[in-house]
Amino acid sequence: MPSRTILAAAFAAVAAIASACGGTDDESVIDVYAASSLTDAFTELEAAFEAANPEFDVRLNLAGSNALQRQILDGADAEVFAPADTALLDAVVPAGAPVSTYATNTLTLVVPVGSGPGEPVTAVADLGRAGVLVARCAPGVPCGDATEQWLTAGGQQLGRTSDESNVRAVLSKVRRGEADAGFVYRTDALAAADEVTEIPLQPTVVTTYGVGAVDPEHAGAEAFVTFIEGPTAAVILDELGFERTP
Amino acid sequence: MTDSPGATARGRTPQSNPSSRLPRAVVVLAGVGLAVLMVPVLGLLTDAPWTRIPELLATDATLVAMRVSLVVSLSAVVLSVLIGVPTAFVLARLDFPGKALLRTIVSVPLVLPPVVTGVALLSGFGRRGLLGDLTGVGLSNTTVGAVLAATLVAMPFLILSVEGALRNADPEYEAVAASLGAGPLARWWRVSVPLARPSIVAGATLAWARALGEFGATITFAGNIEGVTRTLPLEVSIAIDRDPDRAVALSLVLLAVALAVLVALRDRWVPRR
Repeated sequence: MPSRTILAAAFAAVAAIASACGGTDDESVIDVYAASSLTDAFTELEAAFEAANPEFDVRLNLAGSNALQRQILDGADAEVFAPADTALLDAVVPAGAPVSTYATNTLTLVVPVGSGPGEPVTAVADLGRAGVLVARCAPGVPCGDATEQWLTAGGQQLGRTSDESNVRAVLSKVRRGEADAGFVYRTDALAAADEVTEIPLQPTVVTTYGVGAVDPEHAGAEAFVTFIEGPTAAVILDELGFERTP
Repeated sequence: MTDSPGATARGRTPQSNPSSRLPRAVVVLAGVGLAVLMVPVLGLLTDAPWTRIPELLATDATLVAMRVSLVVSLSAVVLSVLIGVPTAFVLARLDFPGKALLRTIVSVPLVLPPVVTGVALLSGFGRRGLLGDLTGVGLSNTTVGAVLAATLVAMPFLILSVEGALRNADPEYEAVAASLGAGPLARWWRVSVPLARPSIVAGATLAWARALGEFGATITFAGNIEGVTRTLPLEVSIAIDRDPDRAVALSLVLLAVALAVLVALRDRWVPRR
């Protein structure tokens, strides 16, 4: 094969990769970056939104709120950002763009259903016991900060912890019985109600969810934010156990 | 280090104009390849908060993670050599039904996403996996578990390296040893293994590098427990959410350690061809 053909093929491949990575300018696609604790909620909200607005195609990116914020700050092509902490919106949503605080969630403790190798955790006081492994979000991510806030307020010490980067990783550890207990949100506990038992925490620590249009120019961004505030979304969020903001 | 690999290479191949021996397209594509490999490293170096690095790294957490990383990666290499070298010999020297299948199984961790390897480890060795069901205890969330995860992803590099070398090796020496009356074990240990040594060292180096960088299987199977399973890559994943500068500083440590060991091994122990 002549070298020119190889070169042309190589450049074509590079160009194809570059255009694929650069995202689309397609106005019908809405890239929504949502916190992992919203995994179930936004999967349902996506379907409901697309049913009501067939001209749009929502593309979800689900991960820890901080990771998502970092991606957006690094120039990722997001139209909507829905972190688990409204404070994270400030840096990425331009002034005047549509923003809504639409739901809250409460921090809770979950323990695996069924017997584990050791004495099961049945109360908050068991958390500091030797040999107990507690899964939690790492400090710095929203669910980790909420956990930290509760530990300080409640004066509770933890023994050995596994620090996860998002709340669904914590839930997964408890579901599989790999951790003896884990700090998650109420909605996560409800989502895995067959596999985990909830131990409510006192005092309560409440997280407020915000959603904002990162790219207000995009026609779909505002539509999606408005939809999240609306009555259809309220029903879905209620069913999953989110509390509505007053 | 009296002579560098570059010096040797220069001695053997005409230095004048290497590109004249290769089609230009090949050289250009190699340049693209090099750029793709170098750009992230350069980015890391330009991103690095050089003046703050000492204070960013001078924490107990860094030292603890470094210790866990060294213990886990070196144990994984030792384990890989202990069971990987015999596996490579079996694959290269024995003929038996299902050998092709075994060879495929050995390579599977190379292809599998590490997080899947982690889930598989949970099913096998987790508290509620096969081992947990049988014995009531699992290896998940322990240092042993982290070693297991690192071994699983790293050992294929060693096995494939040794097996490849063995298949190209000359069986003459072993035949001579046999004719001189050496028993099977003596033959293997005194002749076969020493002959395979370069490939074992090269494979172990690659395996170590892979073990040091292991993340997905470890966090899935062994968790992220300080002082127990939190290796440097896991420490980076925590730092990235709290203090991105520290994450970059830690990454530089990993980079430096990896480069130092790879360079040292290349110069001293891997014979040049």
